[in-house]
Amino acid sequence: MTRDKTPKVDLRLVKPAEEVVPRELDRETDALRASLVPAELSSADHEALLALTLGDDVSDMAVEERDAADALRLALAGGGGLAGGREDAPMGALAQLAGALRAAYRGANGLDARALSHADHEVLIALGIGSDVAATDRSDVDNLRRALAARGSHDLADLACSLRMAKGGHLDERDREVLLAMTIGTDVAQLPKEQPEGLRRALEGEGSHPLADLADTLRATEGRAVLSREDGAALVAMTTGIDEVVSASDRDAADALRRALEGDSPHSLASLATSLRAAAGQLPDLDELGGERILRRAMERELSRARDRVRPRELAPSGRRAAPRGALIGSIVALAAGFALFFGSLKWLETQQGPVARTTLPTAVNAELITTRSTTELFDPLEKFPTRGGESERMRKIVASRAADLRTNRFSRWGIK
Amino acid sequence: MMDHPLTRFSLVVTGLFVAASIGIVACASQADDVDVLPECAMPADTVSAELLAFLSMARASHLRADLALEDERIETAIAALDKLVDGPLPAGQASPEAREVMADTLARSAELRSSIGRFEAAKADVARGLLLAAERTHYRGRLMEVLGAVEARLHTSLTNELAEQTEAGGASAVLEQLRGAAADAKKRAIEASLEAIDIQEEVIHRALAEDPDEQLK
Repeated sequence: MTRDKTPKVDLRLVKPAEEVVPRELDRETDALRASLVPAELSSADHEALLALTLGDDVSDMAVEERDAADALRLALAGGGGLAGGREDAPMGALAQLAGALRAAYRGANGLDARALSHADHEVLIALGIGSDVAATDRSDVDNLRRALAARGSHDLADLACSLRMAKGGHLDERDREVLLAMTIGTDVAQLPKEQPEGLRRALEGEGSHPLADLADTLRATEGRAVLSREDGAALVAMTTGIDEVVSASDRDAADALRRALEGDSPHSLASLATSLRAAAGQLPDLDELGGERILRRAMERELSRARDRVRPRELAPSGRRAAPRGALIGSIVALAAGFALFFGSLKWLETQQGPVARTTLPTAVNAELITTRSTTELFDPLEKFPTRGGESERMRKIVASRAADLRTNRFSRWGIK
Repeated sequence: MMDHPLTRFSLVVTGLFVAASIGIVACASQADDVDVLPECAMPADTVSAELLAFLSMARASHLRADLALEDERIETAIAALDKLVDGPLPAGQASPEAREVMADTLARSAELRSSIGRFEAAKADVARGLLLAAERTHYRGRLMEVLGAVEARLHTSLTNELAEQTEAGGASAVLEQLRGAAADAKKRAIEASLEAIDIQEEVIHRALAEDPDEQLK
């Protein structure tokens, strides 16, 4: 596979100051890179890897693919094993990649695998096999076609040639229809049976066909991938090298993902694609530490997001929410202002009243108040009250006396002696 | 932000300081223009504004009675006095001043009522006044003197009626009843007058015993 274009490095996920403990990832990353040479991955590996990435069960695959998938599943569970029985493929590394893909994919904005469009599939598969995403540009379709005609080069040329060699170099319209039906999960038996062609006959055991193995694989995954018709069309286009079935909108979606990978715009799958690139060694300008950092982030993203959902705000160790620094500073300033106001009021009180006023503060104890009593003291005891008259004069004396007593009491209450 | 312990502690302490400061300034300002010892903090038996108001009202009532009597309107004078004795007491309490003023007022009311022949009402006023002036003072002495005057007037009234009945040839039983009632009234008048004299002498003796200067007079 040739790589004419140098992919742009997405360094948005790389933070130089971030602490990384690469020892645990060293061995796995090296194994991943060693295992992700495109020529070493068979189509069954891709299928199993894609199925695992999307979370599909691969138990219904053909025996060969099932064995490979079981080995991969066992490796994912930590048991080791070899992919597809091939002794030269380090299974642990492939399992690591599959796990990373799963974790990164589940963490990609909470997207479900079913939400992937066929254009996204196309880009991701291209990334997974080490191809440059830029090759999916419409302008490259002609280049691919020319490369297939031995008149140029293309990133996917090798893959396409391999596929064509596998299918015998010929796929008529009927075969493509059958292949598409199997891809999208449609029962081949429901297709019109007029003029049965080679692939259907081969599937029905009446002959052979170069795509029989691929058809068996697709049939084994029938109903599992839950691909839409458009998804299936894109996949067939990728497999057969025929791109006419890919619509303009699909190309637009792929362009959006590619722009996101180039840092021009955001995309929900950008992080996954970046992880794929890093894991596959497609970022030559990215050092080893950066690659490990990206992979680590992709693997831990789901865990961190789950933690954020449980604890949306940062909590202090005691369980209380940590106060912002501004709040603490404001509290200290308010405390200082309270101190200043309190002692300032004490000083003001001293200047307003002084020591003299403090000593004249009356109390109920030291106030000598005149109490009520008989009024007989106001009159001469030697002179009796007249039987008639004199009341008003007595009243005048009583009122005058008690009025004076009341004034005295008020002075006493005011503290004036 | 408010949940942080340090923030909450700071806010509480600051609030306490601010409240204390406001209290200090408010108390200092209040001491400048109002009574520093509130009325409610004064003992109940002190001379208060309420007592003075009652006494002032009593003086006004007697002045009104004086004016009414100048015009010989006895009923108006009695009504002015009744308004005082039937009104509320200062702060709901009967201080010595209030009791004595009411007793003196009831004595005057009784004297006025007896002057227009309402002897029973007059004696009721005296009885009410005696309850207020329980101590043997000039007030009680005057009440007894008024009672003697009331009984004397009653005696005079009964004697006059007896004469009228005798002159008119009234029934002997009626005449005898009038003669007996007049004698009883006279007897009560004498007893009340003697009681009044005893009280007044007692007051004089008490005053002389307490004041040696008075004894030299």
